[in-house]
Amino acid sequence: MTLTPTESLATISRERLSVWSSPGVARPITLILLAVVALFAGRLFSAGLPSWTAAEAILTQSLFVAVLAFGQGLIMLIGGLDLSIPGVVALSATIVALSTSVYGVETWLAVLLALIASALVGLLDGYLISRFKIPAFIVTLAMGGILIGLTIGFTFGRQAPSAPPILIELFSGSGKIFGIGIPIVVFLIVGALGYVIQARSRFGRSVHLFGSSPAAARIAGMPVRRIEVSVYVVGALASGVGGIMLLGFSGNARLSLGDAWLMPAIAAVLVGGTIIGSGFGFWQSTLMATVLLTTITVVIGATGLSQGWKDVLYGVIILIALSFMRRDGGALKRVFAGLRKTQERPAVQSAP
Amino acid sequence: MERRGFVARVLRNGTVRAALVLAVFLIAWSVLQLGGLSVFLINSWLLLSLPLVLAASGVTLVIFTGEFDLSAAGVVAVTNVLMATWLSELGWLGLPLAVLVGAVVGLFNGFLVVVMRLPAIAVTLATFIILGGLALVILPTPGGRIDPGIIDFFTGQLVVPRSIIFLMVIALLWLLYRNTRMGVHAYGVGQDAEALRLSGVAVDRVKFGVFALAGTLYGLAGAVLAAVVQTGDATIGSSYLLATFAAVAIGGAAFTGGSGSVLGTMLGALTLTVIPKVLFVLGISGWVQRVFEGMLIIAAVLVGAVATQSEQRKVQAVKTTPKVEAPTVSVSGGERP
Repeated sequence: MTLTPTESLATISRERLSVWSSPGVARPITLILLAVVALFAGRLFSAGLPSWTAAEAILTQSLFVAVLAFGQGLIMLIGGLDLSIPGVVALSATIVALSTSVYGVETWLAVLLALIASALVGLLDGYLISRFKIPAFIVTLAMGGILIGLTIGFTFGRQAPSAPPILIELFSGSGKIFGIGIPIVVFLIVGALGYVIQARSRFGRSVHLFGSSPAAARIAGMPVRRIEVSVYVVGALASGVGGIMLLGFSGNARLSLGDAWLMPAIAAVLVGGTIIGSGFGFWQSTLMATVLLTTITVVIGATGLSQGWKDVLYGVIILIALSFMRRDGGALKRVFAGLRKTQERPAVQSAP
Repeated sequence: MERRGFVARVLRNGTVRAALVLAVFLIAWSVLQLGGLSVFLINSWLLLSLPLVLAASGVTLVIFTGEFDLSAAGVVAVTNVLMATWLSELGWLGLPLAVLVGAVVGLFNGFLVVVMRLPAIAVTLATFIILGGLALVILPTPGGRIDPGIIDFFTGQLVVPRSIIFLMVIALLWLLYRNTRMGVHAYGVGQDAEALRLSGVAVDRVKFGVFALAGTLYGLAGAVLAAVVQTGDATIGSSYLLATFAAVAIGGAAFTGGSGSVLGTMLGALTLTVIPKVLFVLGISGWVQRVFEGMLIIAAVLVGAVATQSEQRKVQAVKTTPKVEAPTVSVSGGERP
């Protein structure tokens, strides 16, 4: 479609006017409003629910989901799926806990070691996936199994080593800056950092382009192999960071440390509206989706729901998100469009 | 065109590769096992393989069409648990009901993927989680009771151990299915769905049918698993997520769809259940086993990927050379499902 200058100007101004309905703005706002509604609806299940303590707990737990969902989101943007999160989380947490508590390594060095190990895992994942065109979920699934095996090997079946005190102070929620829990501050930092990396940096933009069309990215002369590999490195690094934070949160490095956080991370990306393998997705939406999902978990948790029902709930949420969060803005946008009775621009093509 | 040796040509066949891998482990097992292999040992190995063979075969059928199905582990968990609880008092009727549950899940997956046009990976991951959760709700701790008639039916003897007969029946059914209209079309969908659609095949219906058929196989797998281990366990299915795809990888089917054989997957599943036995007689501990299995899967996928990639490159070269002057920029081949 070719536009004359005036026409294109008109298109642009119409786009400007509709900024509030653009998915990068409307969706995160909708999601956070839903989270607030869910928190107040928690009143139905528990008398003490809409409270500051609950809100703090929700934001604290959202931090871990957000960190893991950041890596998962980038990987899903380019059509992959990272099932090695529990493995990388266990590995990095065990490296930190074991080297500080048993071998007396300084905490900063232990953290550095864990991050290097995570990055190497991502490098290997990314190499195998991009070089041999193997489905990402199989490589990461097998890699997760290997990592759990290696972690058992490291610890020799010893009792789970405990976290260094500084990490407990930072991530258990006991430490505070200006009266705000440290995890909440970190959550805000992670949110800002993630936005800069995914939406504003050269790397983030090349990931979006590569995700929307690897062929176009290659023809445009982009180093596609390097982009794809670095996505998996960044993804594994995010899991590694998540592992270190979860170590501080839970106090010791259990093997199952990351098990419960894989599905929330995937669900957050999908609820945030990222479409697998399309290059379409917004970090701010994913971030708000982590808050919404954690709120739902906390509210439901107040009813004393068993793990089985929680799994069912997450699966249903993923299915609902998949059905409604489409590229054209999904059900919500269609409703708004109907209310305003405006002439929409030509329909954006939905995901293939 | 370069000439290839006989060995290279034979190794190009994924089923042959899988048979070789299995042979290596079987020889290792028979040499290392004290007192050699007995009918009892072999029977217990085949029996334990049977549910994995069924589930992995279902996954293979879906992969032929170029889609993925991660729900196998969930269906196995639910039907396994159902056999030990609600269905255990129904006797014979329990078996078809469990299979029916699997078929319903398969139809549900097919509906979401084909009609709603949602990505298969995400959809089947969601059904996997939901079913795994339901299994935990139905039977929070391992236990329950399996109908003795059903146990006998699968584990009993009929001249030879029945496990052998069942495996042969599955192989035979595959050979029949392969030549049915649906079987042929399913291959075609995986190779070039658009071409098939243009030639008048209802591609959507084929995919729908394959998802339903796969679900049926998972349901059967869960029921057989219940009969083999003689108890219900909601978490036993979770190992099937990795194991089914590992069996497909070792079996040599391409994850891009359109090539491979269920026979290869069957051999892959048999290999996966013989590995723990070999490592056990070697006295190797559990964690090495996990690492080893993971590496074997990656190695198997690598070998398969290299084989199909060189195959595709050959086909592409034949396709493009007469038309394009300088085939340096390859536009296709970059997309991956």
